[in-house]
Amino acid sequence: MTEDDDRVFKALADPTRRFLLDLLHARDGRTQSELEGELAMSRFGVAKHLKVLEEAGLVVTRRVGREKLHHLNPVPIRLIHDRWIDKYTEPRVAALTELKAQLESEE
Amino acid sequence: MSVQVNRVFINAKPQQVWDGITSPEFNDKYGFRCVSEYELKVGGKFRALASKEMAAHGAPEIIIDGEVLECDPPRRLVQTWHAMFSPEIGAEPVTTLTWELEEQYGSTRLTVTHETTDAPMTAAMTSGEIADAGGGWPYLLSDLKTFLESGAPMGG
Repeated sequence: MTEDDDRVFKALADPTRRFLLDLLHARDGRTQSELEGELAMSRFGVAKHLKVLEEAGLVVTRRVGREKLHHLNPVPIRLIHDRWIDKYTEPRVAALTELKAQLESEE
Repeated sequence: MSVQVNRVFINAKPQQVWDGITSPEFNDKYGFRCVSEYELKVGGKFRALASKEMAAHGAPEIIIDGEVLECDPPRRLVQTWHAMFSPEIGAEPVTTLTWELEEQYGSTRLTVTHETTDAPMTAAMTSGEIADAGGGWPYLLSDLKTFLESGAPMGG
């Protein structure tokens, strides 16, 4: 599972790949040529980045007729959130919530 | 056409994942804690029942209903999915949900494809975009994975 996390973090470490995810977040289910139109990059470059995103599970492709559509898969990010972010933010959020309650009850 | 694709690898056999999705013995143990009942045959009924907490917040008894369109255990399940959390959502058209389970290196690759054409409120809810609506499929599948891999859901 650590290997999966590595792949996700590495995929997210690149600004072009984050941009590709943002594009899919704005409008899902696009072909590679549609995505190429948004980037000043060679066809080969875009294909390479999409491959890294697919291997990390962040992009899932679906064949519809003759087209290969790219979809953003939000689950790996959710897993990272649940396993990593929650663990570190929850005690702090809880502390702040407590502080807020305390201050407000003093009023 | 609006399609959401969610994929997760679960370290369990396809049959265990299938049971985790379709059996009321397991499917209220993770995610939104709703019992989901499946009549596992083509034309069979599907319905998800409100949890006690949802009922306390005024949810109807049946919060989602649908029909089984294809059933090939433990590989493929296609169903309709009609959310009825509120009258507004209930007025949206019926959506289609496809569960695909594929064994890979002893794990299961689960792909959930939700076609939400002309159902924008349903789509906003199931995509997890609405902060208060519980995180949609990404949350449900993340918790299903935790449940099947560790026997314990995340909680909350």
